[in-house]
Amino acid sequence: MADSYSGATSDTETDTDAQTVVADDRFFDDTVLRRVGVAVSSLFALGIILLLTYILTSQISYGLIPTILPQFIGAYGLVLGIVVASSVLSVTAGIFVGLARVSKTNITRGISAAYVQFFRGTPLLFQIFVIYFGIPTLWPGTFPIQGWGLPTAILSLTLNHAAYVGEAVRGGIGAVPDGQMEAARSLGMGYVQAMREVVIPQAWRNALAAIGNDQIILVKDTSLLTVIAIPELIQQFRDVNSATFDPWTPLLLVAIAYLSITVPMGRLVEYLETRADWGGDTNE
Amino acid sequence: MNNAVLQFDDIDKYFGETHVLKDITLNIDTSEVCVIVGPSGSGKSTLLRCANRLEEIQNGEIRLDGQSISAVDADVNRLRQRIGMVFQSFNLFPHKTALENVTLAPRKVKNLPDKEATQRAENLLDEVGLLEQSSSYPNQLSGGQKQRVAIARALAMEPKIMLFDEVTSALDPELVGEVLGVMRDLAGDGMTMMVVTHEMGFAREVGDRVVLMADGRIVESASPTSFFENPSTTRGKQFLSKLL
Repeated sequence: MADSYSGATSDTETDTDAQTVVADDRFFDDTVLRRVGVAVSSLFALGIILLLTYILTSQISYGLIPTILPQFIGAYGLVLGIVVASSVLSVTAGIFVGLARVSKTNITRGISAAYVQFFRGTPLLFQIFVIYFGIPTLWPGTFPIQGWGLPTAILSLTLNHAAYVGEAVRGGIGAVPDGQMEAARSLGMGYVQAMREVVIPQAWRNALAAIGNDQIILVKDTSLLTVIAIPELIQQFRDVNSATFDPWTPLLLVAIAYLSITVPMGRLVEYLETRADWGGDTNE
Repeated sequence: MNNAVLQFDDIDKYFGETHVLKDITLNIDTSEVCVIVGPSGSGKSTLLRCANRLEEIQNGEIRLDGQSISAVDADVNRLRQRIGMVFQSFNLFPHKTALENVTLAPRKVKNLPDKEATQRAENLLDEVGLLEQSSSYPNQLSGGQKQRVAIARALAMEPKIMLFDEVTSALDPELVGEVLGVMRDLAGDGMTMMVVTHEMGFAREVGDRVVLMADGRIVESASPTSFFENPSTTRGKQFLSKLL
């Protein structure tokens, strides 16, 4: 892919803009550029492989793994649960935020814009604190919910990521040509029906990459929950590290745990994108 | 007058300060093919878009079979089912196959059973010569094929009148013929049609009446023969002289 790309551009450049490219061409023609690319990326990969090999052979206490594995598996299950709940909720809520953002009603549009401004404009960590420490104090008397940590986790991730999903959906709707709505309406469909049948399926496809990206960030954002003592993955790292002074063994498990969620998620998004291919090119 | 399917009664349309349609009165009779011609910016497309209320008018009234379309409380969704519209830019639904494009509205708006909707859609695609492409997506069709699917899609709602908004303007010249051919057949079947076009050959051959618009007004309304051979207004003469 990199090959054909650099080949194609430099061909046209040399044809059309010979004057300016000539000087560069002497040192950086196609072949040189390609070799530099291969060399740099290979060196980088080699460095990483050496580092990893060193860590895996000398820094990991494999004897420790069976002891700490259960707590990591527990944390993994918890993170997965939080991710599934917040993902479903934030994408669902985000679709409505996106619809509200393109509403013709000023109030709806204004309120949803303010919502996005706030939740996108303040750190997730701050929002976690507001919900975890702030909300219970507003209650007259004792706060009735025991174990407010898990609800805080799901609520904060949902509210925060619904703002991002909302923006992705808004962009996705904006990229659907007006003619689509007009064609649907001219056939007698109502606004809601036209949105559901015609505009949203196309907006969804347009927004899919951005939503997928955001949901992967959501997975990693669960690490912030360590500040309210949710027993998630980073919390396990801290426990093990403070007890054994061994950073690399728990870090390895943390990396495997996160990647085993985020990599399949990336694949899922790719699959959904190719499924919404509609017989070829992206745009009509 | 009693025969009129679509009536424009002294309508005015503004885009902000700009007065784009001025005192338009026009009746389109059953089975009539009314061709609207005129220079760009004369308001012909806007007039067509007012007819199914994609644009709002500020004065006057538009009626379909005597029922007001322009009234505030008009049931637009119901009225639009009886007005088919075909656009310059096709506006086919890219996420649906040709067949699904045609069945969508009958299924969702008229609640027609899938089987019946499919049957009807296949007949229509057959009529426009595209039965073999029924499972193709719009991206896989040529411009002329897309526009023929768009015509089938509009016909699937069994409209009383069809509006054509410069439907051949976005097509490669060699594809214009196949679309005009479908429209000619449709006119032959007695469909009432309002056609905004730059295709003077079509206007002359298929049109029952030619309406010339300029600067938001109707300046001439005549049979194709008298319009093209002997236009009665200077604007008409000017317009025709520029075509040659």
